[in-house]
Amino acid sequence: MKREKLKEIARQAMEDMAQEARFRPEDHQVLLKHKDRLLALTDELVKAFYDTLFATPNTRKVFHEGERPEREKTLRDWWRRTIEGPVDEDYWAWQAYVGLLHVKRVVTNPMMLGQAFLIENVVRRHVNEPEVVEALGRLIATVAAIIAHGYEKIQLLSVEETTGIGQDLIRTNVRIGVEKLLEE
Amino acid sequence: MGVSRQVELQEVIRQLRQAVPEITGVMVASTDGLSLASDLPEAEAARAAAMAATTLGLGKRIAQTSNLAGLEEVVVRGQSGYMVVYSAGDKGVLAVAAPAGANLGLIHLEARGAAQRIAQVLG
Repeated sequence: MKREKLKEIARQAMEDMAQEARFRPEDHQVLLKHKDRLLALTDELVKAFYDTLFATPNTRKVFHEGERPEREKTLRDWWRRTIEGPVDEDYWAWQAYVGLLHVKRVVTNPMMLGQAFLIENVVRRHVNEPEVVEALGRLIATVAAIIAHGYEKIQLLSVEETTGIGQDLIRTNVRIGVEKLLEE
Repeated sequence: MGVSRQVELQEVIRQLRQAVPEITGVMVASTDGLSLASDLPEAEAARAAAMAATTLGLGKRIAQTSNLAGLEEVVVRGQSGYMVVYSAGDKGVLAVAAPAGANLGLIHLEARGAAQRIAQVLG
Protein backbone atom coordinates (compact mmCIF):
# COMPACT_ATOMS: atom_id res chain seq x y z
CA MET A 1 0.00 0.00 0.00
CA LYS A 2 1.29 3.45 -0.92
CA ARG A 3 2.62 5.66 1.88
CA GLU A 4 0.48 8.59 0.69
CA LYS A 5 -2.67 6.52 1.21
CA LEU A 6 -1.58 5.66 4.75
CA LYS A 7 -0.90 9.33 5.43
CA GLU A 8 -4.37 10.17 4.17
CA ILE A 9 -5.95 7.54 6.44
CA ALA A 10 -4.05 8.96 9.43
CA ARG A 11 -5.06 12.52 8.54
CA GLN A 12 -8.73 11.53 8.25
CA ALA A 13 -8.67 9.87 11.68
CA MET A 14 -7.01 12.88 13.32
CA GLU A 15 -9.39 15.33 11.65
CA ASP A 16 -12.34 13.37 13.03
CA MET A 17 -11.00 13.66 16.58
CA ALA A 18 -11.88 16.61 18.79
CA GLN A 19 -8.93 18.98 18.96
CA GLU A 20 -8.71 18.61 22.75
CA ALA A 21 -8.35 14.85 22.44
CA ARG A 22 -5.78 14.86 19.64
CA PHE A 23 -2.01 14.61 20.15
CA ARG A 24 -0.26 17.93 19.55
CA PRO A 25 3.36 19.05 19.12
CA GLU A 26 3.45 20.43 22.72
CA ASP A 27 2.61 16.92 23.94
CA HIS A 28 5.71 15.61 22.29
CA GLN A 29 7.78 18.29 24.01
CA VAL A 30 6.42 16.97 27.33
CA LEU A 31 7.37 13.39 26.41
CA LEU A 32 10.85 14.59 25.44
CA LYS A 33 11.20 16.43 28.74
CA HIS A 34 10.55 13.14 30.59
CA LYS A 35 12.35 11.02 28.01
CA ASP A 36 14.75 9.21 30.35
CA ARG A 37 12.06 8.18 32.82
CA LEU A 38 9.74 7.07 30.05
CA LEU A 39 12.40 5.06 28.22
CA ALA A 40 13.40 3.46 31.52
CA LEU A 41 9.92 1.88 31.56
CA THR A 42 10.52 0.04 28.27
CA ASP A 43 11.27 -3.41 29.72
CA GLU A 44 8.33 -3.34 32.12
CA LEU A 45 6.01 -2.03 29.45
CA VAL A 46 7.02 -4.65 26.87
CA LYS A 47 6.80 -7.48 29.41
CA ALA A 48 3.36 -6.39 30.69
CA PHE A 49 2.11 -5.96 27.12
CA TYR A 50 3.07 -9.43 25.90
CA ASP A 51 2.45 -11.25 29.19
CA THR A 52 -1.14 -10.02 28.93
CA LEU A 53 -1.51 -11.03 25.30
CA PHE A 54 -0.01 -14.47 25.85
CA ALA A 55 -2.12 -15.10 28.98
CA THR A 56 -5.37 -14.65 27.06
CA PRO A 57 -6.39 -17.45 24.64
CA ASN A 58 -8.01 -15.14 22.07
CA THR A 59 -4.97 -12.88 21.82
CA ARG A 60 -2.39 -15.63 22.22
CA LYS A 61 -3.67 -17.38 19.08
CA VAL A 62 -2.72 -14.34 16.99
CA PHE A 63 0.96 -15.26 17.36
CA HIS A 64 3.06 -17.94 15.71
CA GLU A 65 5.27 -20.21 17.76
CA GLY A 66 8.49 -18.40 18.72
CA GLU A 67 7.29 -15.02 17.46
CA ARG A 68 7.37 -13.18 20.77
CA PRO A 69 10.98 -11.83 20.62
CA GLU A 70 10.35 -10.29 17.21
CA ARG A 71 7.11 -8.66 18.36
CA GLU A 72 8.76 -7.39 21.54
CA LYS A 73 11.43 -5.71 19.44
CA THR A 74 8.73 -4.02 17.36
CA LEU A 75 7.08 -2.64 20.49
CA ARG A 76 10.43 -1.47 21.89
CA ASP A 77 11.15 0.32 18.60
CA TRP A 78 7.68 1.89 18.63
CA TRP A 79 8.05 3.15 22.19
CA ARG A 80 11.52 4.60 21.52
CA ARG A 81 10.38 6.32 18.33
CA THR A 82 7.28 7.63 20.10
CA ILE A 83 9.29 9.20 22.90
CA GLU A 84 12.26 10.37 20.85
CA GLY A 85 10.30 11.37 17.78
CA PRO A 86 9.93 12.64 15.28
CA VAL A 87 6.16 12.33 15.68
CA ASP A 88 5.39 13.47 12.18
CA GLU A 89 3.29 12.41 9.18
CA ASP A 90 5.47 9.35 8.67
CA TYR A 91 4.93 8.32 12.28
CA TRP A 92 1.14 8.59 11.93
CA ALA A 93 1.26 6.76 8.57
CA TRP A 94 3.08 3.96 10.39
CA GLN A 95 0.18 3.73 12.86
CA ALA A 96 -2.26 3.46 9.93
CA TYR A 97 -0.07 0.68 8.53
CA VAL A 98 -0.51 -1.12 11.86
CA GLY A 99 -4.26 -1.12 11.12
CA LEU A 100 -3.51 -2.90 7.83
CA LEU A 101 -1.34 -5.47 9.60
CA HIS A 102 -4.04 -5.98 12.21
CA VAL A 103 -6.56 -6.88 9.50
CA LYS A 104 -4.08 -9.37 8.05
CA ARG A 105 -3.28 -10.91 11.44
CA VAL A 106 -6.92 -10.78 12.66
CA VAL A 107 -6.05 -8.53 15.56
CA THR A 108 -9.44 -6.99 16.35
CA ASN A 109 -10.00 -3.44 17.56
CA PRO A 110 -11.12 -4.64 21.02
CA MET A 111 -7.77 -6.44 21.33
CA MET A 112 -5.91 -3.32 20.21
CA LEU A 113 -7.85 -0.93 22.48
CA GLY A 114 -7.29 -3.13 25.52
CA GLN A 115 -3.53 -3.07 24.94
CA ALA A 116 -3.51 0.68 24.29
CA PHE A 117 -4.95 1.35 27.74
CA LEU A 118 -2.57 -1.18 29.25
CA ILE A 119 0.38 0.90 28.01
CA GLU A 120 -1.14 3.99 29.57
CA ASN A 121 -1.69 2.19 32.87
CA VAL A 122 1.88 0.88 33.05
CA VAL A 123 3.26 4.38 32.56
CA ARG A 124 0.89 5.92 35.09
CA ARG A 125 2.14 3.53 37.76
CA HIS A 126 5.46 5.38 37.66
CA VAL A 127 4.89 8.78 36.13
CA ASN A 128 1.88 10.71 37.31
CA GLU A 129 2.59 14.36 36.63
CA PRO A 130 -0.57 15.77 35.02
CA GLU A 131 1.28 17.08 31.95
CA VAL A 132 2.68 13.62 31.19
CA VAL A 133 -0.59 11.84 31.92
CA GLU A 134 -2.44 14.21 29.59
CA ALA A 135 0.15 14.03 26.82
CA LEU A 136 0.25 10.25 27.04
CA GLY A 137 -3.55 10.07 27.08
CA ARG A 138 -3.74 12.10 23.88
CA LEU A 139 -0.98 10.02 22.31
CA ILE A 140 -2.72 6.73 23.06
CA ALA A 141 -6.10 8.11 21.95
CA THR A 142 -4.63 9.32 18.65
CA VAL A 143 -2.69 6.14 17.93
CA ALA A 144 -5.74 3.99 18.77
CA ALA A 145 -8.01 6.19 16.64
CA ILE A 146 -5.68 5.91 13.63
CA ILE A 147 -5.27 2.14 13.98
CA ALA A 148 -9.04 1.68 14.35
CA HIS A 149 -9.75 3.98 11.39
CA GLY A 150 -7.05 2.22 9.38
CA TYR A 151 -8.61 -1.13 10.22
CA GLU A 152 -12.00 0.06 8.94
CA LYS A 153 -10.60 1.71 5.82
CA ILE A 154 -8.46 -1.29 4.93
CA GLN A 155 -11.49 -3.55 5.14
CA LEU A 156 -13.47 -1.21 2.87
CA LEU A 157 -10.60 -0.93 0.40
CA SER A 158 -10.12 -4.70 0.42
CA VAL A 159 -13.81 -5.36 -0.25
CA GLU A 160 -13.70 -2.77 -3.05
CA GLU A 161 -10.61 -4.38 -4.53
CA THR A 162 -12.02 -7.91 -4.43
CA THR A 163 -15.64 -7.30 -5.39
CA GLY A 164 -15.52 -4.10 -7.43
CA ILE A 165 -18.12 -2.59 -5.10
CA GLY A 166 -17.11 1.02 -4.44
CA GLN A 167 -16.85 2.53 -0.97
CA ASP A 168 -19.80 4.88 -1.49
CA LEU A 169 -21.92 1.88 -2.45
CA ILE A 170 -20.68 -0.10 0.56
CA ARG A 171 -21.69 2.84 2.77
CA THR A 172 -25.12 2.93 1.09
CA ASN A 173 -25.53 -0.78 1.79
CA VAL A 174 -24.49 -0.26 5.41
CA ARG A 175 -26.95 2.62 5.84
CA ILE A 176 -29.82 0.55 4.44
CA GLY A 177 -28.78 -2.45 6.50
CA VAL A 178 -28.64 -0.38 9.68
CA GLU A 179 -32.11 1.01 9.08
CA LYS A 180 -33.39 -2.54 8.66
CA LEU A 181 -31.63 -3.71 11.85
CA LEU A 182 -33.11 -0.78 13.78
CA GLU A 183 -36.58 -1.89 12.71
CA GLU A 184 -36.06 -5.38 14.15
CA MET B 1 -30.99 15.14 -9.87
CA GLY B 2 -33.04 17.65 -11.86
CA VAL B 3 -36.76 17.23 -12.54
CA SER B 4 -36.21 16.99 -16.31
CA ARG B 5 -33.80 14.07 -15.92
CA GLN B 6 -36.25 12.39 -13.58
CA VAL B 7 -38.97 12.80 -16.22
CA GLU B 8 -36.68 11.43 -18.94
CA LEU B 9 -35.80 8.39 -16.86
CA GLN B 10 -39.45 7.74 -16.05
CA GLU B 11 -40.18 7.93 -19.80
CA VAL B 12 -37.47 5.31 -20.49
CA ILE B 13 -39.07 3.07 -17.86
CA ARG B 14 -42.54 3.62 -19.34
CA GLN B 15 -41.34 2.76 -22.87
CA LEU B 16 -39.60 -0.38 -21.62
CA ARG B 17 -42.72 -1.54 -19.77
CA GLN B 18 -44.76 -0.84 -22.88
CA ALA B 19 -42.37 -2.79 -25.14
CA VAL B 20 -42.28 -5.81 -22.80
CA PRO B 21 -45.52 -5.91 -20.82
CA GLU B 22 -44.49 -9.02 -18.89
CA ILE B 23 -41.82 -7.00 -17.05
CA THR B 24 -42.96 -6.62 -13.43
CA GLY B 25 -40.56 -3.97 -12.15
CA VAL B 26 -37.85 -1.57 -13.33
CA MET B 27 -35.25 0.29 -11.31
CA VAL B 28 -32.75 2.91 -12.45
CA ALA B 29 -30.02 3.55 -9.90
CA SER B 30 -26.70 5.32 -9.69
CA THR B 31 -23.59 3.16 -9.52
CA ASP B 32 -23.21 4.17 -5.88
CA GLY B 33 -26.60 2.66 -5.13
CA LEU B 34 -29.03 5.56 -5.01
CA SER B 35 -32.47 5.19 -6.55
CA LEU B 36 -32.91 7.57 -9.51
CA ALA B 37 -36.20 6.35 -10.98
CA SER B 38 -38.32 3.31 -10.44
CA ASP B 39 -41.79 1.90 -10.67
CA LEU B 40 -41.25 -0.11 -7.50
CA PRO B 41 -43.01 0.88 -4.26
CA GLU B 42 -41.00 3.66 -2.57
CA ALA B 43 -40.30 1.50 0.49
CA GLU B 44 -38.50 -1.05 -1.68
CA ALA B 45 -36.68 1.40 -3.94
CA ALA B 46 -33.69 2.23 -1.71
CA ARG B 47 -32.83 -1.38 -1.04
CA ALA B 48 -33.44 -2.45 -4.67
CA ALA B 49 -31.17 0.36 -5.92
CA ALA B 50 -28.34 -0.65 -3.57
CA MET B 51 -28.74 -4.31 -4.52
CA ALA B 52 -28.78 -3.53 -8.25
CA ALA B 53 -25.62 -1.41 -8.01
CA THR B 54 -23.91 -4.04 -5.86
CA THR B 55 -24.83 -6.76 -8.34
CA LEU B 56 -23.45 -4.70 -11.20
CA GLY B 57 -20.20 -3.90 -9.36
CA LEU B 58 -19.64 -7.53 -8.50
CA GLY B 59 -20.59 -8.68 -12.01
CA LYS B 60 -18.09 -6.26 -13.55
CA ARG B 61 -15.33 -7.49 -11.27
CA ILE B 62 -16.15 -11.15 -12.01
CA ALA B 63 -16.13 -10.43 -15.75
CA GLN B 64 -12.81 -8.60 -15.42
CA THR B 65 -11.03 -11.20 -13.28
CA SER B 66 -12.40 -14.08 -15.37
CA ASN B 67 -11.25 -12.46 -18.63
CA LEU B 68 -14.81 -12.21 -19.94
CA ALA B 69 -14.23 -8.66 -21.31
CA GLY B 70 -16.88 -5.97 -20.72
CA LEU B 71 -19.95 -6.93 -18.72
CA GLU B 72 -23.21 -7.17 -20.72
CA GLU B 73 -25.59 -8.01 -17.93
CA VAL B 74 -26.09 -10.05 -14.79
CA VAL B 75 -29.00 -12.49 -14.83
CA VAL B 76 -30.36 -13.82 -11.56
CA ARG B 77 -32.84 -16.61 -12.20
CA GLY B 78 -35.06 -17.76 -9.34
CA GLN B 79 -37.80 -20.37 -9.34
CA SER B 80 -40.45 -17.72 -9.88
CA GLY B 81 -38.66 -15.22 -12.07
CA TYR B 82 -35.70 -13.16 -13.19
CA MET B 83 -33.83 -10.11 -12.06
CA VAL B 84 -31.56 -8.80 -14.81
CA VAL B 85 -29.09 -5.99 -14.13
CA TYR B 86 -27.57 -3.93 -16.97
CA SER B 87 -24.82 -1.35 -16.97
CA ALA B 88 -26.12 2.06 -18.08
CA GLY B 89 -22.90 3.94 -18.81
CA ASP B 90 -20.39 4.88 -16.14
CA LYS B 91 -22.96 6.34 -13.79
CA GLY B 92 -26.08 4.22 -14.07
CA VAL B 93 -27.59 0.81 -13.45
CA LEU B 94 -30.79 -0.63 -14.89
CA ALA B 95 -32.50 -3.52 -13.13
CA VAL B 96 -35.46 -5.34 -14.63
CA ALA B 97 -37.70 -7.92 -12.92
CA ALA B 98 -39.73 -10.47 -14.90
CA PRO B 99 -41.66 -13.63 -14.08
CA ALA B 100 -40.50 -17.19 -14.80
CA GLY B 101 -41.16 -18.08 -18.43
CA ALA B 102 -40.69 -14.48 -19.60
CA ASN B 103 -39.07 -13.95 -23.00
CA LEU B 104 -35.53 -13.22 -21.84
CA GLY B 105 -34.30 -12.51 -25.39
CA LEU B 106 -36.90 -9.78 -25.85
CA ILE B 107 -36.11 -8.35 -22.41
CA HIS B 108 -32.42 -8.16 -23.30
CA LEU B 109 -33.16 -6.53 -26.64
CA GLU B 110 -35.34 -3.80 -25.17
CA ALA B 111 -33.47 -3.33 -21.90
CA ARG B 112 -30.07 -2.90 -23.56
CA GLY B 113 -31.53 -0.08 -25.66
CA ALA B 114 -33.09 1.41 -22.54
CA ALA B 115 -29.74 1.19 -20.74
CA GLN B 116 -28.10 3.17 -23.57
CA ARG B 117 -30.76 5.87 -23.30
CA ILE B 118 -30.30 6.04 -19.53
CA ALA B 119 -26.56 6.42 -20.03
CA GLN B 120 -27.22 9.39 -22.34
CA VAL B 121 -29.61 10.98 -19.84
CA LEU B 122 -27.10 10.63 -16.99
CA GLY B 123 -24.34 11.99 -19.19
